[in-house]
Amino acid sequence: MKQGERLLRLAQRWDEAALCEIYDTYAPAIHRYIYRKTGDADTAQDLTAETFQRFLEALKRGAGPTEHLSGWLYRVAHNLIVDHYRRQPEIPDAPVEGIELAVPATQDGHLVREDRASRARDALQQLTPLQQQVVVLRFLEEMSLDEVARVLSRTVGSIKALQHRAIATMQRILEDSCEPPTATDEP
Amino acid sequence: MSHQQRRTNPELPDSVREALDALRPVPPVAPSTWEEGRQAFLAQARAMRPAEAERAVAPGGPLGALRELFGFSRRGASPLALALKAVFVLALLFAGSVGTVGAARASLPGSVLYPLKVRLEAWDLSQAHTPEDVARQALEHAQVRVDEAQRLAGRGDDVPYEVAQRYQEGLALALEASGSLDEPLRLKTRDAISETLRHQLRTMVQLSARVEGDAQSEDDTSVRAMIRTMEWTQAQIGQGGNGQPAGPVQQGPAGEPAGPAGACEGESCEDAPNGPAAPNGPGEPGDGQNPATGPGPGEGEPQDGGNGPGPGKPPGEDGEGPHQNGPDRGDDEDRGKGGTQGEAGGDDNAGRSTGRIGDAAPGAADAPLQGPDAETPARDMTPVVAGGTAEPEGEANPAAEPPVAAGQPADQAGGTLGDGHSVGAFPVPPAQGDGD
Repeated sequence: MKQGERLLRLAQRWDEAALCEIYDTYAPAIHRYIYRKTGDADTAQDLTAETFQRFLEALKRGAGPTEHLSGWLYRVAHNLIVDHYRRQPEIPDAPVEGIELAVPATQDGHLVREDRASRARDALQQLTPLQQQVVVLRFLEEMSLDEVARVLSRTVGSIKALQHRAIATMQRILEDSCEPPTATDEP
Repeated sequence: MSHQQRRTNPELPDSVREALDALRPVPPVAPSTWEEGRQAFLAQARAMRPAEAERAVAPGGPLGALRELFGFSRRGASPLALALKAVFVLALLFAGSVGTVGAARASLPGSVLYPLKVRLEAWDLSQAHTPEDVARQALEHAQVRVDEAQRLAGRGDDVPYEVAQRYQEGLALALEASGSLDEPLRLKTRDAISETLRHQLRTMVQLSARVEGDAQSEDDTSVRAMIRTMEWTQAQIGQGGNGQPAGPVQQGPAGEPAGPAGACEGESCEDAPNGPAAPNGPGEPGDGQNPATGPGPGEGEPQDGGNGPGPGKPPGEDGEGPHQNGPDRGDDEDRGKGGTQGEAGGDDNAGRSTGRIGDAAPGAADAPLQGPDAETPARDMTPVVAGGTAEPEGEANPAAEPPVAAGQPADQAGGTLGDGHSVGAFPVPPAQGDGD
């Protein structure tokens, strides 16, 4: 965190070396975050670039993060992902559903993994934005509760609560999607 | 799911764990793609950089790098940061000053920093508020002169006359200051001076042996002048040990100066074989400010030359006169006896409290007026110097035969310090006895 704050101060003075270091430090994590939520490498690359462009624009306006640079970047990335899906509301579901139906169960492992990832992403997208961030940061980026709390500017207690609700919701969505409604035993 | 994931979330449901595991893999991004992304980001940054940032960001070059290094920008300056910067700048200035002062303290005559060294020593003296401190400080300065002579000679350089002058000044001041102390402390201080002188004398004699062979050089002359000062001062201290003020500084009442004349102590100066060191000054009796004698001597003396510096008797008359053949030896007669350095001070010494060797030369002022040998007189004036000792008794007008001209080394002739620097006011009276 201290390194992030130091870089942020230098970046506010438009220090090119600091800006470069910020990109090298945070771009891979933001790229992973976006990819895991979109499942598309090109989209991840584009949205990562746009996230950092927003960062520069904020700096120029004298706005932007005052602390917790990574948290600010994750929030911007998340908003961009939401905007991305808003701009293309029809594309994600229909084709995926179509592909899913067209692929026989005997396809190779790669397709199976893609199918699982797609369903997981669908489940993730149905969470609230904050729950999505908690799940990704906590279980995919493998941050601790403290780190997630700092990034999201929340208390550890609220992160625990968000995490609990997110897991429960995902579990329900995933299990619902795997079994026909008639076979569900859940109350 | 990874082992860590299981460890941190053992309660994660299997369905959720499997779904997240499916999301975990991220296809690697080619390094070139990252590089392109970075370059695009930096290009955007350059394009969007505000004008203010252009000014704030350190430009290239050492100055800009320095400013950036220490954060001397107008943005983001907190009071603490400013205070730290101020402390840093002050520390730099202080370090620079300390370095300069240190270098000046170690400088030698001829160095650019030597004038600063002289000023620093003057400041040292100004900080000494008791006679004891003044004596100690002045003695330290005298030791510095000895060290300078050693270092200069050691590296093959001439010892400038200035060193001998300043040495004499320091010693005279130390003696003067010690004279104003109470008896026990005065004796103690004089013992310390005497002890220091012993060491210095040993050092300078060795040094003289090294530079010997070039009696005409300033080097040799300066060293010998310092030796004579030491010897004479030691003799004076020995006498002063009886409670009498000795040093050239402590002079008796007007007309009975000590100084070189001290050689006459206990006996009439008229009879003294070595007249006062005072050479044949130009005729101006001491004004009491002869450097050699310090402020004390000759004070209140008439300025009419009645008591000339010259020996009790004109050298030319009885042959006992010191060597010093001033150009106007004849005048000395009029000055009467008891000539002292103080008296002999001559015009040149006026207003000086701690006479300088060269300046004090009584003859120096008149020399040019005294005849053809303009240089010689000044040299011969050296009172001090051998006080006539080196010269054979009865030798007539030394002015006509300056020691040096006569083939005698200046120091032996006791007349000069060479190069026209008369030792006239040198407290060091000539060595005694030779001529007797």
